[in-house]
Amino acid sequence: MARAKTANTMVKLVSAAKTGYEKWFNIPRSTPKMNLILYDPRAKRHCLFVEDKKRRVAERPPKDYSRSHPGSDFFMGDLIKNQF
Amino acid sequence: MSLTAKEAFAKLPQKLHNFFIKYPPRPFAQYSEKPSTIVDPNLNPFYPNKNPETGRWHGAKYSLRRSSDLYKMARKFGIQDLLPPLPKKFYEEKYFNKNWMRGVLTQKKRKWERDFPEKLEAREQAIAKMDETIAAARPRYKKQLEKKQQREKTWF
Repeated sequence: MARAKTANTMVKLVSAAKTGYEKWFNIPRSTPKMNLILYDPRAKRHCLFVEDKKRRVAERPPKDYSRSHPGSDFFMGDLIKNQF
Repeated sequence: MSLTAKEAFAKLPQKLHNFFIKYPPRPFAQYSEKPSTIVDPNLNPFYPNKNPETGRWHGAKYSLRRSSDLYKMARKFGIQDLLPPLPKKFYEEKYFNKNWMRGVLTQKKRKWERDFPEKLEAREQAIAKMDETIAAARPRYKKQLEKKQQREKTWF
């Protein structure tokens, strides 16, 4: 029988400055791909830290950036029209 | 009371003496400066020589060790030029014209030593471009940078 998956995973973030500096985090499994801006003491400045390994992430529906507000396309006139 | 040539020759060490009997000194006999054939009259006993019929090589009549021995002995008497030419160099000649090994002149180094300068170069470039990489991942970072630059105090 396969082992049950834990709620959290350990994730390694590696500095984008290629200094080899790493940071580990224990995060919920469903969090999307992480990148953080943290201090890299070998580069002596804040750098982007990116995840080292690929991992499965909970799927989220893509964000809809069209300006319509849910319910904003509702037209009272249609309701009234259908009544008569 | 100086020695005649014959008397001097008799006084040489046994090894040199026997060598000159078999291979007369240079003004009286010619020796090739390179490996040649075993039927060559100017055969050099310090070099390997080829049998032209079979195409096989014969080893030197006098090994490198023995030839070095003879040379050093002859040099003590100052008669090293009477010997046939040797494949080896000695003393000052060697010091100034040494045949260095290829691996000593151009060292191969370890894999990590060869790759290291590139690695450092890549690291330097990554740090130089860090602001751009962060801005690519976090669009808001550009504004932050601009604000920072505005706040920077200058000498004016």
